[in-house]
Amino acid sequence: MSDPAATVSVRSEERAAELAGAFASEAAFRAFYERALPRVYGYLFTRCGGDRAVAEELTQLTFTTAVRKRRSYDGRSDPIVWLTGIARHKLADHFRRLDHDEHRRLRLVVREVAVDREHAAWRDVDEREALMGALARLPALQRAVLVLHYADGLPVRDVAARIGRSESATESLLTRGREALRLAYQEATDD
Amino acid sequence: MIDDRLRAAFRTFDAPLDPDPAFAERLFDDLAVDLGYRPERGLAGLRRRARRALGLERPPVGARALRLAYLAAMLGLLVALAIGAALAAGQFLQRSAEDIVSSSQALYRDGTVPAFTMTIRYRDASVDRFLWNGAGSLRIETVSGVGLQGLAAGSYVVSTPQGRGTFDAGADTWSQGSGPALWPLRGLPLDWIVPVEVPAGQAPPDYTCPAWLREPDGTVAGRSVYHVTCGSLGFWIDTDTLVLLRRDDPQVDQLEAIGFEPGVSAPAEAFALVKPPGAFDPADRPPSTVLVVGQPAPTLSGPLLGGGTFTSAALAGRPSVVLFWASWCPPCSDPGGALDALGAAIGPRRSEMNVVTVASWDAPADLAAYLVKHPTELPVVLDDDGARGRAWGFIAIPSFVLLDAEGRVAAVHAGAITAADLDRMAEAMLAGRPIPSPAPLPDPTPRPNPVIYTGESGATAESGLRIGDPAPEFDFGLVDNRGLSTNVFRGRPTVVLVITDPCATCLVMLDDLARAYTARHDSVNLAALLWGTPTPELLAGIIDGGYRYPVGWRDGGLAEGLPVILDGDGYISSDQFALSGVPAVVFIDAGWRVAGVHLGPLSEADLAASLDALEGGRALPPP
Repeated sequence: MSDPAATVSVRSEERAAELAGAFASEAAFRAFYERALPRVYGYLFTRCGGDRAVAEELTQLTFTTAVRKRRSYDGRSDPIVWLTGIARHKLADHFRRLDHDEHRRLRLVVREVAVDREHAAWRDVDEREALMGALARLPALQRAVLVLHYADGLPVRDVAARIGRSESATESLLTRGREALRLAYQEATDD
Repeated sequence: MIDDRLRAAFRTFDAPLDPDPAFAERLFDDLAVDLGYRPERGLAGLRRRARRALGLERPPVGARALRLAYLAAMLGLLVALAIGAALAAGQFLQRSAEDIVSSSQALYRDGTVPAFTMTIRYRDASVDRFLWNGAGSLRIETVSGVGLQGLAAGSYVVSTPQGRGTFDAGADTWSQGSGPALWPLRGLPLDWIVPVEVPAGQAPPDYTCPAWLREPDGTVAGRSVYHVTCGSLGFWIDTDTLVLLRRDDPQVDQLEAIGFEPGVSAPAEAFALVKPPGAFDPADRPPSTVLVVGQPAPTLSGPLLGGGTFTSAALAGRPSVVLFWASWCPPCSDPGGALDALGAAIGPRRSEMNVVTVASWDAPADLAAYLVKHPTELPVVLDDDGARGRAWGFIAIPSFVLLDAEGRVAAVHAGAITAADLDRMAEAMLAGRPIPSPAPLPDPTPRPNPVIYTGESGATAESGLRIGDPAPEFDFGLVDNRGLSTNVFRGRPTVVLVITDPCATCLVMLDDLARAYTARHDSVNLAALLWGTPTPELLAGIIDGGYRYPVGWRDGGLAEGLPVILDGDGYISSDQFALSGVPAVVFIDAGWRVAGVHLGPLSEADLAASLDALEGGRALPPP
């Protein structure tokens, strides 16, 4: 999915009506579900490091939340973009919980990879599996800032708000995350 | 640009991806139910409804560990709820402190606590006091060594307004009231002494309290108890019988708070100490405090005079006679005395009987000197410190013991005996007949009681002792049953105070002498000579007063306290010292010659002046 702002080209009322239509009957919802599910699942699967169980949980949470909050949809964005926004919330929640869980266990690891190698060249990163694998090896918050910033294109300020950190801390996380991802990616591709 | 390359790389993350079809179908079914297209069914539906009702929509998303943690948390919540409910129920059902107290008090009001019994148990270094009633113990208190401080060493007094009893752990004696020890035991540790059943007392006062507090239950004397408190007062109430087992009152000194609850009428019988098995009345003292007819005698072993060692094994297999005696003891060693009687009666029977003598409280040198002059065929076991005599429970010598072939006591006799009587006893034992008691010997010729000099009558005093003459030699017994001879006094000046009882002036001088002893016993021998039979009160005063008891013979000198010599028949005072009355003070110099005799009262200052002169080798000053 590309930048959400780029997709806003249809009037809100029409979009709201579209979503309302999607929930009008089981058959209509089935059609909407089959269209949206691969987008939401694909979005979550890659960003959570290829963990299928987590992706399914987050997908389920995203859809049940959407069903419960469907009446608050205002039509300002495409229904699937709206769903993706919910998924992004769930993903950020997930990363925060993971961080809370990892905080102690991974402290030493985080320190080990927190080396300033900003000048190091970033090489081939076009292989999705290797990237996911590398991403899965990062601490949760580094994964979160990388995903939200680079994959979802959120500015640092928004990323900071999503993960509940200050902007400077988020910048620092991004820096460390990039370096850690580079090292992890190198290891993944060297294997 | 690193950022651009990363963005490009992450763009691959946006490609749609089909999930597992089973997951997709399950999720759709759930959503269809949520949206109301389908009814909820089955266990899954129930679970969903329950979750919704409890506000537990879904478990937190995350790794399997998180799911397990979630389940554990839910389980913990349920367990906590169950425990809380149980506690609340327990609190609700638990007996209140007020109910416990009122039920217990009702028990006493109704008089269903029938009788009190008092039991006292001595155990190691502590004394347990038990006040029992029909349903359980009313009070148990243990007084340890700390609690006994301030009382006479080793003694312990139990007192209530109605009575008083004394336990002397050192002497293993019991007494009642303020009298002398009533029940010396047979040299064995005291165990259970009573119980005595006495009529029921009145109820203890009904304590009232604005707010009883129930503390955690406890245990008293092995019984489970409720513990209720009112301020600093603590009450321990038997959970079964509701009898009050213990009360803690910091205002009451534990040592004195013995006995019955305030307000309870404790009859005098509560302290009627019953003669325990094995105890004896001093007024009817047995010949031995240890030996019991029919029971095995203690073992006997020790060095034999002339070399070798004697052991009890030598007494095995045949009947035996054992004599405890001493060379300094006239009834033992005089011609026709115990040793002679034994030789005459048992000597011819030595093929049928074992025989051994034990020279107790007899210095080996004195014994050897005696036996040079009076040889005996009988084996003599040395017992100079009297340990063997004490182990067999003797308080006097001579003492005879007849043992059967199995080593059991067949007869015990203390005191002088004729050869004829001893022969009859031995013959009966060998024939398996009952052993006759020896005929009582006639009392020795009565001696006149000593005249008690007063200040006014001092002029009538007489003494057959003359200054410069050798002082008489004599053997003597001390208050602690030890036997010694005047040999122990040689080499230092000696002062002997002769007193009798009752004699108030004598006791004043005994006090003076005891003080002089404390100050001078390193350089002068000081002793008191008690003429006549002392009253128990005087003996108790000697024992409990400043005159240390027992007197010890250590390192060649009298070391432990003022020796008090017993001269019941006046043999020393009247025959040897040739005194006609008391008090009298005999001064003897280091060469055992008479340095002076004072008859009648003597002041402490005059005594001191005389002692100074005696130590300095000068003539004694007149009083």
